[in-house]
Amino acid sequence: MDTFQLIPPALVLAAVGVPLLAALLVALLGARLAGLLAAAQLVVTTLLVVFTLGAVNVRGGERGPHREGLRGSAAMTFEPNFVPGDPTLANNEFAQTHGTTWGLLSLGPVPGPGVPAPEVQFFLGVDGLNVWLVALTSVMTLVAVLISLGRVRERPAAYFAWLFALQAAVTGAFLSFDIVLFYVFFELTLVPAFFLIGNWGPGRGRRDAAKLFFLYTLFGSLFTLVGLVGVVLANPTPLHPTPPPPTARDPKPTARPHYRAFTDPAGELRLPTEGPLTYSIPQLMRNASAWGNVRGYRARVAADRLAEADAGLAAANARLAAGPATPDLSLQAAAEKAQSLAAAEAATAIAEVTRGRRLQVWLFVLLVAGFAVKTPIVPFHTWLPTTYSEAPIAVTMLLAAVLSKLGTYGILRVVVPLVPDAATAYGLEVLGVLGAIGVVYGAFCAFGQRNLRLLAAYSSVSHLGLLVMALFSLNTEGLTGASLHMVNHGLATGAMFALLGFLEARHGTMDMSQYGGLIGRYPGFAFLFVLVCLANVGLPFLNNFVSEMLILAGLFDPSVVSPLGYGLAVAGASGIFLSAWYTFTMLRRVLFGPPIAPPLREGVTPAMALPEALGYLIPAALCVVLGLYPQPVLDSVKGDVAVVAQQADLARMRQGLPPSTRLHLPPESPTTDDAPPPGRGGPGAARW
Amino acid sequence: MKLLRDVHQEFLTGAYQYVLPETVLLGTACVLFVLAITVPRRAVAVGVGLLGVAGAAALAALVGVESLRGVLGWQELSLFWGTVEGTPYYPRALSPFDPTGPAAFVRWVALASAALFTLLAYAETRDDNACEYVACLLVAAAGTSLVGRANDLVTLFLSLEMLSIPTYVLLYLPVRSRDGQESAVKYFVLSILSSAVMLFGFSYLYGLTGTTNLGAIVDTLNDAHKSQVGPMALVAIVLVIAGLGFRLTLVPFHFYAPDVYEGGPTGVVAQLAFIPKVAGFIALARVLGMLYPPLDQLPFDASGTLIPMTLWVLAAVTMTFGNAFALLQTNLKRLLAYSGIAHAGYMLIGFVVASTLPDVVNGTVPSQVGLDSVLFYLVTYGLMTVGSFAVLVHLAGGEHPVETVDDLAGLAKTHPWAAGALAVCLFSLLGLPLSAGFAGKLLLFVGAFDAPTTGSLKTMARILAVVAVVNSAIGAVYYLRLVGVMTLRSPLKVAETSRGNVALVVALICAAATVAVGVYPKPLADAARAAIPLRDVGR
Amino acid sequence: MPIPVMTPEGLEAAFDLSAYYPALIYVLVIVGMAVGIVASSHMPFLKPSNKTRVKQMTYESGMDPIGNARMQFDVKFYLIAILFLVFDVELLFLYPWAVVAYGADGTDSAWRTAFGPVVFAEILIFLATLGIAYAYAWRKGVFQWR
Repeated sequence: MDTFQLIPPALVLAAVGVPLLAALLVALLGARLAGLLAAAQLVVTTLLVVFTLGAVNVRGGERGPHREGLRGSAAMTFEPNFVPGDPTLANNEFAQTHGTTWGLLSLGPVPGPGVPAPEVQFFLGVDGLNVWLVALTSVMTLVAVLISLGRVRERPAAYFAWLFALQAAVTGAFLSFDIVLFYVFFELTLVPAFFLIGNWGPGRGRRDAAKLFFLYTLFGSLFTLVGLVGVVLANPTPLHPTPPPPTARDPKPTARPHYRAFTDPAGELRLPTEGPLTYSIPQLMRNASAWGNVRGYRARVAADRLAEADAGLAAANARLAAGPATPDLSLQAAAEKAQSLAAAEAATAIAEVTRGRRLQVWLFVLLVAGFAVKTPIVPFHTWLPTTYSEAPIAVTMLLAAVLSKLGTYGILRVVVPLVPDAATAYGLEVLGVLGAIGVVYGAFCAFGQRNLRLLAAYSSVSHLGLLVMALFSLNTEGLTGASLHMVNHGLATGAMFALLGFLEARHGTMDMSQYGGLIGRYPGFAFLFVLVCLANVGLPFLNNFVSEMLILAGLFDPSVVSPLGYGLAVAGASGIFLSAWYTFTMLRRVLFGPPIAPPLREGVTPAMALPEALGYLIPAALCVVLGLYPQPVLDSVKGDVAVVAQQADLARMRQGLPPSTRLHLPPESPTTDDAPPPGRGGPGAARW
Repeated sequence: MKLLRDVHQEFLTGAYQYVLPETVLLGTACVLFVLAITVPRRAVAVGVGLLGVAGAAALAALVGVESLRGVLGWQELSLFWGTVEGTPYYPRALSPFDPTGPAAFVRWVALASAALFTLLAYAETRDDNACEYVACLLVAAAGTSLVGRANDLVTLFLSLEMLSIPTYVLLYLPVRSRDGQESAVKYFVLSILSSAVMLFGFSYLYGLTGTTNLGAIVDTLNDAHKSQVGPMALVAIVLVIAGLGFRLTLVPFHFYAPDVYEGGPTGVVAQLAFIPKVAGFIALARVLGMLYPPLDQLPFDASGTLIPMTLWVLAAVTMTFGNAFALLQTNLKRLLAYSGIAHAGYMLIGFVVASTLPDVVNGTVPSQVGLDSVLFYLVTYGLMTVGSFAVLVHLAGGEHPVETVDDLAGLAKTHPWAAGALAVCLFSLLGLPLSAGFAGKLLLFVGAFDAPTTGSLKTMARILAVVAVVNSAIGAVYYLRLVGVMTLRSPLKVAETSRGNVALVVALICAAATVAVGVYPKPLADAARAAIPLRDVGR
Repeated sequence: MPIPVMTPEGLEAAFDLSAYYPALIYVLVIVGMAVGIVASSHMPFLKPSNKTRVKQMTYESGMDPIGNARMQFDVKFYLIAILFLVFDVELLFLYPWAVVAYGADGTDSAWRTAFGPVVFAEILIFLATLGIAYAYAWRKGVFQWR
């Protein structure tokens, strides 16, 4: 065992463990350590990013096109790196990479070797999709700590402890590759957020806001829990229909996983059997695709055989009509029987396909419920104004920058890969449209606000709408844009809230009408604020520009000509325009014009302290950096975005739609690969 | 070849082997009664009580050691399920105790809870009644443990009463208030009534089958009910479910719980909220024949839908009523009473799943599910409920104990440790992840979604799971209200704590165990699964 | 729906009402006696009917009844009554125990070698428990008439 090999998994554990430890240390030793501990976590995450970039870029190229995937044989799936508890680390006999052996809660007996056990596992890992979000969480927590230092007077140790607990929960959710573990961390964010909002919020309504936030989000995510359980039950590991012959060592061997249907030498179509349940997201993704393909393949084979049987029957009938005076009725009877059998099989197969699709629609609705509330997607955003205006500003910043990403990340990591058929069939039509409504609605609401916090909150809603549309465009451009936009939106919106905290700490109000001409009074603040607002608007050379362009490109997908996609793209583009409108209006009112400001609060110095300044500078600088050089992010998400896009493409092809991605499928070669076998025991049969 | 008579004798004379730890508990109780008239001291009572529990635990651990079994001359447990050589008889239809299945699990639960309650007794009792209090506790613990292994109507009824009768005394002992008396009398009368109803059901069972041995009763009824269920058997099982439903606080039989909990001494109420549920659920499983393989038939149900649907209705109504009424409460103990009712409803989900007869898929019968999640949930429910009540015991020191929700205001500032423990327990009751309550609910819900059957029963089980999920959301409202009051409001007055911090220690133990089970539930879940009989054992 | 039951002694016959005729006759005799006595003392033509004041009085073991019988009793009476019941019934239990466990018939030597010591130990434990209960009641002052 190589010691060096153990470092990256240890880093993955540390990414969750260090904030937890930090929470404990801060609670015990006082708030002074907070900055140091947040910086330590940032170091851990930076190391993790470096290691991940190495691993992802090395392997990224290997993920080539896989037409085979259509039958499930080589369906790609997430391959988390640096999994703590990976059996290869301990040189296990049944080594399987990108998996773990650390069980938390087993829900059934252990099946044979090579088959995933039906247990909830402590399955953490990094890949291109989550590594940047973990980094974002670390950066924004550091910012939250920096801008809270000295401002939180009441029980600062407890405040920072909860802040670190929140960071641990969010990081854990991003790193989880077990579906229940993901839900555990996802739900766990509620507790620190509840205490932070309820105890340290500036206004009188903070308690009600905390309860509303907790209960609203919990109610949504309970449906997600039902959906998750449903997904697990709907996608057991497919096993080979015949177990291997018993050996002396293993008298009752278990069948190995087998992800496709095949025709045995006798010409019978054999389907995999339902094996044990699994809770691992990569395994579930593979299973979801496999079951969809198996059902689709069965239906196609059944249809072909029905056509063949129909033809046979017609031929027999014709021969009967034209035949001799004493007809051979047995031939015709056999053809009739074959035809009725084939018809029954075709009906069953089609019913199975329909049943699977209908189930996925239900699961899609259930899964999305929690994520839509968390993000929030527009009709479920009613908790947001209260919460964002009642929470302490650093927490509002974290809510907008990081916690909202849990919802979108959930869609990207869970919804699209695990219910691909429903996501491709209804995602853009339902959630894309809701996202578009959110873009426009959020923008108009933002324009109407007098409260700066609420303005930023609605601006965040508007940009998240764009993000949701991008997630359901389900092509590489859109998904890459979405992955990047999660980070960019976090940085830009987070920086905006952080800078609003500057004003709130000094003047105690967020009412826009009480401010004016601040550029003379706080030139440094004004510079950063303008920069961040420009980033939010999507000015070229700043970060949001890159991701928003990618998102629009994804929505204007030329390979799928759909008026809906174009309409959504127009809505998205108008959102970008509208954001410029309300942002510049706000800037004009607050920064320019006659200088007015409410009186300074007691005991506050107007000058920017060093930690605070660092807190504003870091995200602002990152906005510029990512605007100028987003390539590392784009490179690292490429491989995993391709996986998600392929999962969606396979689902599209099952529904008879053209795949939307031009990048990963080679030119169609249906005759060799994709066509059902020519006949029973035909020459192509062996390959199936 | 062993004669049937020898086997019979072995299992009758050998029955004491199965109840040694319980005997130790009862002996300690006798010693405590003697101490009550010689040295009535609180510390002595708790010390002796803990010693007794430790002794029982040591014996229980020795029983588990396989290699010692031969040395001590104890029977092989594998004999229990086999037939007696050359005869069609099973030892399990002869023995008054069944040491297999959930027996050991329940014993450990009873012993652990006895230790916790004995510690709580230190905070709640005075010198002049401490010995009796602890003695009654130990008798009740012995009764609980015996319910886990009672294999005969007589032993089952006796152990259930061994659990109930000390409770009447306990309810009356520490507090001599008007409410306390009302609570004691109410519980006494209704409990006697429920026992009578249950006993009436038992008498039907005996009349139908001519035996009091539960294994034999299940076998006989299974043989008789291949096609159709006799009406007398239905009367019997309805009466038994009604009698046990009182202990489980299932909804039509729940009405006493809020009043009794409100008036009774808090430490005893903690016990009342937990122990009868353990005993009741195990007794229900046993009478319904769920602990007797091969489990291919329900003794009271030829169609295989009657019992599941009865339990379904009970479960849905119980959890919905419990949660809906808990929303309206301002008294903490009443609130916890209704919360306990709701949780009994959740646990019944496991029974619904266990009572659906499985489909044979690919020639293999799926292993029994449902009951293991009930056992798991019982433990988690015990931890979080006892923890909550322990905090209330801790805060009941002064003239004005913490009683209403408003009394909790600002507890996080005045008593941070107590508030922390209570918050953990409440979050666990709410079912928040990383607490035992979440793992328990996950097991129950997954079990209900994955009921090993097809058709309408499966759909019904799934609907029940959704009902439970909606109920958890309702439950979140009132649990969160408590947490909010504790942590977000400023204190109105400082609650006085009880002498010493023993109750707080109990609360912290419960809270820590709740988190530990929530973080790493695998060992407990595996133990619960191991406690459930496999379907293909025996025959 | 009577079912024949397998017991260790063999197949036990199903419930049969005719086996209970002796009990029925017993009940009839008892009821007949009761009815006969009541009838002979209350039938208008049979009973003697010279009422005097003393004869109309409540019979109270030869004492003159004083005051209303519907009065409150001291709760101590209940304690005494319960204690009496407990010890009385529990002592009563010893007779059937002795007869069944060590009687001449119904038990054979094999049974006695198997169960004898156990049963003896059991009754000793039972008596010891009674003794503890007695000592407890005594020391708690149940027998003191305060």
